Amino acid sequence: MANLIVSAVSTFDNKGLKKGKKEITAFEQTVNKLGKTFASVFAAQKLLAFSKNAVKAFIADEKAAKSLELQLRNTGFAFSAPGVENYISSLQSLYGVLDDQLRPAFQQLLTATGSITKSQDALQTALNISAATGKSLTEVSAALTRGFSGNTTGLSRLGAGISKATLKTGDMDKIMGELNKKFAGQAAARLDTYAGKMGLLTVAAEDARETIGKGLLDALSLLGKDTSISSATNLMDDFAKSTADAVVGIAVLVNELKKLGNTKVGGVLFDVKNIPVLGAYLAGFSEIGAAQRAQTAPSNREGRSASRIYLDQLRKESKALQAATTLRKQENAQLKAKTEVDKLSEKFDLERIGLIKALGEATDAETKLRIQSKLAILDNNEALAKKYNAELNAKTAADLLATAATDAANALNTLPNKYDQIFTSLVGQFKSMGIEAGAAAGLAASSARLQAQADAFFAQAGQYAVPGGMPSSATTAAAAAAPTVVPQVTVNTGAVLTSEQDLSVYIQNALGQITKLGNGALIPAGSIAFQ
Amino acid sequence: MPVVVNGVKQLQKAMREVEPELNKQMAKDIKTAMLTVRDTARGYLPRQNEVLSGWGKGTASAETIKFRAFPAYDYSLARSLIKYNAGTNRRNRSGFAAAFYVANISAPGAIFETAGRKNRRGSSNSESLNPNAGIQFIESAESISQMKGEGKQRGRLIYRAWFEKSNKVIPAVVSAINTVATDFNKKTQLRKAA
Repeated sequence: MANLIVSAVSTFDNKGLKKGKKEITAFEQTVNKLGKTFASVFAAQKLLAFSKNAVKAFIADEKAAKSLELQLRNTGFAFSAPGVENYISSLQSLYGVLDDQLRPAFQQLLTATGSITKSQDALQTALNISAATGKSLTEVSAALTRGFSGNTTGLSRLGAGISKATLKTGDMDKIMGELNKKFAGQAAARLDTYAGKMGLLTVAAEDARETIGKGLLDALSLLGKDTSISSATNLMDDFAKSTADAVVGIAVLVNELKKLGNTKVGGVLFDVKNIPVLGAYLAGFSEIGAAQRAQTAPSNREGRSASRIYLDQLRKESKALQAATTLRKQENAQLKAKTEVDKLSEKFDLERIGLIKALGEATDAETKLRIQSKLAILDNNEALAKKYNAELNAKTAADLLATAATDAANALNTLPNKYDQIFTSLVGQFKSMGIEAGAAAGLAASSARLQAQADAFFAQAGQYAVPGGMPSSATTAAAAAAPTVVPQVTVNTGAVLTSEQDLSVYIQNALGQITKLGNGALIPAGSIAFQ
Repeated sequence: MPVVVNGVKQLQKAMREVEPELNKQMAKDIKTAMLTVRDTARGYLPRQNEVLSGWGKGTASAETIKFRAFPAYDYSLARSLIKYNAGTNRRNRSGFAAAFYVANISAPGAIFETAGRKNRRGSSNSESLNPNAGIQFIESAESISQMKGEGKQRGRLIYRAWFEKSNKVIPAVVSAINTVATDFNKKTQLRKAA
């Protein structure tokens, strides 16, 4: 009850107030301290809660990915799993819809259609309808799935305005055609809205959370020396380990912030190095965490979706290729820049000036070629030097060919005279031997022809000569290439032959003798010959 | 409003040590002035048969309602608990304490003092079966003694008496204090000089 009093005198006593003030000050200090303690405890709890949520998000994501992968494998699309994962990932970043919604929707549609292509088309349509009608993707995809299974009731409730007649037919191609006609481009148009942009932001945040969750699991697995996710999750309750995780989480977070720092807006805001003292530590933690993440990545592989791992590899390879291309471009640009500098220096190179002057004054091709070669040497231009070397070799070869051709032409010019002389001489000899003029001329002509063939053979012997030690095939080839030659043999009988009959007898005797010895070319050694 | 006198406590303390008789004189003079307020306030209290019959009987009990039973009116109790106190009461949050005060500390006395001060038509939270009970109670009290004063110093008993008598009481109290203080100073100066 309130004090109901009237007093004639009131006294003012500030002693109590002073005391109260002191007490209040002390209380404030205590409260502040308590507040700080609460804040730190609360922050630690928040961090722990965030870590747990991040791990849960990553595990849920992995579970969904693995489920889809298994279904793809069961339906004979095992090889398409990485492609599907990539498709979902692309859709997520393209339309700002979480993969948590996309994956189950795709899985449902795949179950109903049994075709990846059809499922992809249907998912695209579902995204468009969802964006246009405001209904959730899950709801729309469920309606489409039921439609593919023959139940079109759900489709009529989507508010998509499909005519009853079309729905009654149950022809999904027709229904999808109508839906596509009505809602095409809606999902993309949604991105221009505030909700769409928020969706993109949400996707980025969720991805970051899943990435952090993965980092935490890797770190926990490392600490627990156990690679299973369940053990790692249990370890989250252990304070010491949770703290260690939080540090790794910070490292990952810092990495993500660094990425943000690369943006125009966040460049200054999110550079952790800008944070006094702590920034340096954070940057250090970040580097350690990044290195550790690379080392621990394989440890959780048995718990991860194979298609995702493969997709990761593909992405890494693609990234590496891009990096290599960028480096090559940079290198080329540097070389180009260097060439420009060289061009400038060339203008003041006296040796080069002299050579260029000589090149301008040279009249024959060979001199020009030599000067150009010297220039190539001066430029250290390997490609050009190679070209000029080849040209010089070709020039030498061409010269040799020209000389040989001249010699051959000269030889050809002298040949008729030689064989005329042989022919005339032989005719004379045969006549002196008592052979009549016609027969003598015939024999002389044959001899001259034989001589010509022999000359031709020996003339080409140099070209077809087979070096020692070559396989027999080479010899055979050389022989085949050589023209058929009858060697001219000079026979010294040691007796005077008076008639043709004597000559015939002499030859027969000689052949008999050769056969007996077995060394002749007529019959092989060891064979039996009859005389 | 009461007169705020700084150093009254110190003066009393000093007087108790140096001139106890002066202190007694001051208390006596103030009491004389303040008792007129107390007696006037007691005079505004309704007799037992003047209040509404129900309140006088005290029919409400703790068993029939959720809260403390509405205190039945008891004239003698209410009268005895309107009293004068020469000491100082507990300091309020601002550091002020009342000295030489008249208080109305009984429950029925307080109800009669303040009924309708906040809401002239009665509280809307009333759980009475009669929707006009609040208004009827206030009108009945108002017909016995009119509420006077301002703000929280507004009422039918001590506040009304203070409102009516303060123009005489305050100068009397101030005069009593001044007289005693002057006497005290004179006597102490003489002692110092000696």
